[in-house]
Amino acid sequence: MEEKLSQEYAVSRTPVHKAIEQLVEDGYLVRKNGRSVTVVEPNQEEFNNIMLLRQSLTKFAAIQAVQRISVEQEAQLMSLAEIADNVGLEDYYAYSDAEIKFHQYLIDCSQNTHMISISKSMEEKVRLCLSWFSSTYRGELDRVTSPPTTHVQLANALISFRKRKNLVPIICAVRMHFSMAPAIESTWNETVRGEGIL
Amino acid sequence: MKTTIVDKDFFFSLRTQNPFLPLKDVLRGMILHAILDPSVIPEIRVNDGEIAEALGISRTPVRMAIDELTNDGYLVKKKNKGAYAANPEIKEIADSYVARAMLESTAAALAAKTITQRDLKRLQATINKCNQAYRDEDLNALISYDMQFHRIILDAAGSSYLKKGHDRIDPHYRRCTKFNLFYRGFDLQEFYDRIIGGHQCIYYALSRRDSELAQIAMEHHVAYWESF
Repeated sequence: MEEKLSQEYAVSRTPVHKAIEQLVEDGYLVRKNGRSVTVVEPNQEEFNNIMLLRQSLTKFAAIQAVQRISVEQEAQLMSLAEIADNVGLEDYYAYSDAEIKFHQYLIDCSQNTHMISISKSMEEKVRLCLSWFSSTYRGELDRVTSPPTTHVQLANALISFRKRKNLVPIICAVRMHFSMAPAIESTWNETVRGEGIL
Repeated sequence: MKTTIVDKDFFFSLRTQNPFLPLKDVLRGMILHAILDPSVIPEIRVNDGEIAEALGISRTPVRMAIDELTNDGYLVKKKNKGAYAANPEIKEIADSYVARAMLESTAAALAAKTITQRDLKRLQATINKCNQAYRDEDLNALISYDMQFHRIILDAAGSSYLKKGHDRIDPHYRRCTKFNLFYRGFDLQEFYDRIIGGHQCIYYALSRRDSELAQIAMEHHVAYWESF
């Protein structure tokens, strides 16, 4: 593996070895039998945990963001939400990219350095989880992913705070946006049991 | 109320723990420990000469530690007067309380799924110790058992993102809490009620393995002070 990579990119083996070591340490790769390395696949439990963490981050960031956001940032947030909702699920990589950009921008709007750094530190993990999700539910993504209007709805709820000064719609919108997670859990059980794997 | 930064026991325990740590980092640890300690007066003066003399070391590493802490915003230098412990700004208070509410409530929700009987027993033990600390009117013990309770839940949640985030906000949070205790008026009874009441609700939710209830109980418990 190391040799192959170093030949392909015409670099020496040391940096390749170091990069792999780093990825093993961060938990993205796992070493088997001392030599070979494989990618650590997320599982349903980890996916749910990461989404739970993301949901809390989004909720608290949104509560702070509405009090600090400027009108230009609102417009930017809305345009990112529209991109995320219009990109379509056929190209799931582009979808998750737009999705992550929207959520990252929302958290940036909170101007809370602690939350921004937590969200940055888990960004790669979220990407990994989303790609695992799309490969697991290939062909039925339209059924298990949230309907493609919820980003705009979430952005609308945030923007409405300027007029209405009410936090309840925002908290509801975040909950609704993430509420697919338990549904996924039950669909997953149904599909797997239905096909007689368990 | 303590009026000195120098804590010889703490200094030497840090040194023996890690003999290879540069002196300036040991001093940084000691000064930070003192300015986060609720029993040390706020806005305390941090004088390099006094610290160096009390510990029998040169002034250079002390100055380096003070400069570093000034850059991080824990100390502020006043013209012709030297360095003082800085009070947190309103934004910092709001940010660290919100971030902590987020971290702790997520940790509680995750822990509810995985917590072991042994950890539940340890939680119950810290609640009992908090009761004892209240009867002894020992504020420091009360705070340290409160921190222990939250630490157990955070460990039980088993998420490296939460742990890293917690380590990051912990000094900020403790500084803000110290500030609140001093300048907002403080009532031991109210503080105790909040800690014990909150912890019992969280314990109840965790023992029932109710993720959602644990999350809400923790949110309420942590966000109680701050209206954000």
